[in-house]
Amino acid sequence: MVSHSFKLKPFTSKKGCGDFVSVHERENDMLFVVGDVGGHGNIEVGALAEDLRCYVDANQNLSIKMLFKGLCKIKGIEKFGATVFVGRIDTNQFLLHYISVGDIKALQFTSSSVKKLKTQQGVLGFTSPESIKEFVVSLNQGDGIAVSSDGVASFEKVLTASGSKAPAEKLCEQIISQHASKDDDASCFVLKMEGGKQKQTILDNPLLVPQQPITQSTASENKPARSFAPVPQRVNVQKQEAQTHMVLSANNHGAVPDVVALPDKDTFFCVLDSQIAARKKIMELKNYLQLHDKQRISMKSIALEAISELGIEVTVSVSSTKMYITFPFNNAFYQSVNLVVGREQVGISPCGTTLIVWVALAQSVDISSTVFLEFKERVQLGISEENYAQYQQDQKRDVVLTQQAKLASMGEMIGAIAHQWRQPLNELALRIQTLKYKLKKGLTEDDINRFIKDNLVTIDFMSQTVDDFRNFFRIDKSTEVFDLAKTVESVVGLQQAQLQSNGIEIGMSGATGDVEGFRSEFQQVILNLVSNARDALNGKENKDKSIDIAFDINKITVTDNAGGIAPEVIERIFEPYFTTKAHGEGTGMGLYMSKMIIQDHMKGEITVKNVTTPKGKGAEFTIALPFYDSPRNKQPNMASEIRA
Amino acid sequence: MQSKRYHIQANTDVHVLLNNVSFLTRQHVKDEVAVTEIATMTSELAYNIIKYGCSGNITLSYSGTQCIIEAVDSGKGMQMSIEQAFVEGNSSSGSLGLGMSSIVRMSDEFNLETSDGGTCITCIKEY
Repeated sequence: MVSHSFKLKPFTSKKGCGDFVSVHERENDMLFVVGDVGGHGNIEVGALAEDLRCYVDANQNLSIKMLFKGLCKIKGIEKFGATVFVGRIDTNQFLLHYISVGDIKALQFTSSSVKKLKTQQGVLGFTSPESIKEFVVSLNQGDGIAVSSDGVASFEKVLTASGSKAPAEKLCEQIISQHASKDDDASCFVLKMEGGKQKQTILDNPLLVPQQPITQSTASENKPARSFAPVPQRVNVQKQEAQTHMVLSANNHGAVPDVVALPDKDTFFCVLDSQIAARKKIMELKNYLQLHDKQRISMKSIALEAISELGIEVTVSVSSTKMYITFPFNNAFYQSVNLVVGREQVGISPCGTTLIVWVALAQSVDISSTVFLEFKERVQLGISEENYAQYQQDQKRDVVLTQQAKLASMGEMIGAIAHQWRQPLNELALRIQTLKYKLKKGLTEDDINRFIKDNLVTIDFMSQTVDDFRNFFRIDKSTEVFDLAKTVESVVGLQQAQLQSNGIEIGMSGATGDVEGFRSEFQQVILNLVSNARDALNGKENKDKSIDIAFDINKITVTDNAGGIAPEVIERIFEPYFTTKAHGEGTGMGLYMSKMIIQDHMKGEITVKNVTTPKGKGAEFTIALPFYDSPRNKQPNMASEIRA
Repeated sequence: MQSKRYHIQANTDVHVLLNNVSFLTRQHVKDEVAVTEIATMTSELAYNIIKYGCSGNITLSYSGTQCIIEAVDSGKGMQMSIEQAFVEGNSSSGSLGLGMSSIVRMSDEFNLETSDGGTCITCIKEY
């Protein structure tokens, strides 16, 4: 992403050179420091420059400000003084952060212009600036930065002549050879931003994008058009191997296949599990890989035979030079395969359980190219090119809609906070107004103390609400063990005021335990369930509107008495875009995301059913999470009871 | 070049600014995406002034194909290291810490100068 070069030209010897350059590259940034100690051709000056360079090398991970402050304190700097440019390039965002003090030339050059970077007056050790100015400048692909000490005369012409095209190394050489002063040390550093700057969009924000892309599977009779299967399943090789142990005993009869390595995992292409799929997918492969008809027919025949005669699945792999089909070894079947393709194109895996058949490709294929990967995905999905284009569009739309759903839940929480704050704000207003009347009656010290204490309690409560809100939207980077009930209570607590104003009672009961997972994602699921129950209850005229949350160690049920979900739609409510709410009120993504979080991220289950409770008919959502092995969970009677 | 300066000291100033910015921008910019991005950048910069700077000014200038947004405050500069300020999720004010990197993403050119005397941010948006 960044190429750089630097050059030093001492006035006399390297030991007496007051100029120094230090460069350190890391994964996402690059630190570079160009400095010039006052004087030249003096061993003391050279030693100080070396001390400054060593300090930078030893403290390269500090921020530029801390580094600069450290350089100002190096012993000896007060004797000679120094000028310095401390810069750090953020190679992800293409940003230059820098501090520049003294007579240092720093230029930013693009394909069409050269401009001076701002710098600050002063000399470190003599007149160090009291207030350090830090600068940030955005760069684009092809832009460059050139920094030199005052031993280099004006060199803009070098950059305007060939700046955008010449490599950094050549520019450095030209600047020093053409513009370095003969009476001073000279140093120059040039960097160029290369490679593509990734234009990020709001969708790149990790807060707003689902951690796992939503995928679509093809519709079939028993499946909805969309499912939650994230990737096509690979063949379970272990299962296949287990099935074939008994067959191996017949190995010694007839010809024995050569032992060859199994195709690499990265070459996995697809699974053929039916004759229709085998015919269609091998034809697609034939066209893409430009197989000869003979190759196609032999691979197709073997695959069809294996599927129909042996009743097994066949795995197809494609490397850059070969196409493979693999399936569990069967001696009799091996003899037939031998006849079809010849012994030199058949082998057995080192463990003797998998038969491997291959054909060489006429032209090598780049299996990591986007075109191939898209082709692979299309074949795996079993859809036409036209439908695949539509599928890709749907994928993009899914990302946007999921983002909208997240934003909607943020809006939901902001609404909850607004409710939560209304009452304490009223409290504060009332107390402040009362103070005036109390003053007329005679205000005592006790009154003042109570006024302060009461208001601080109210303010603490409001502050806690904000903290809960922040925790709710933090990004879970890793799983953690958390108390099920406490986590749910923190969400419900935020919604309490809103629910009360809607006349809905919320109750929690049962024994709580520890579970492991992504806490804030789990909170979003609870928010969804409680908000859905609230919306359903708001549309009813029940007298006793209620939401009951019951806990078990690793299980939770959320039950409402809003009448339940219509039987014709209950099977579909976890599908994306499915909503029973009025147009514009629901994105239809809330329960879909909840299911993704519970099922894919936390390896649990979420189910729904209609129930009849003493409070009336309603819907009951159950979340079951994997049992977490903690001392508290092992002894259920130790699991603390929460309020009934 | 047409310029308009807004003084920012309280939330109400930000509301006034945001009410005006889209209207003002649409007079120069036809692309609705660019209008929205300019309004969003202005909003982030204005709230940053309130959060960190106490008071300051936002100036919007339109010149042919560019909108220049300049935000100047008289705060104490960046409290965290300047490199950290651009990493998403970092915030010294307790907010989500997404503002600065969003502004950089939406800008075609971004410049910042900060010291304990205040901060000046200049964003250029091409349209």
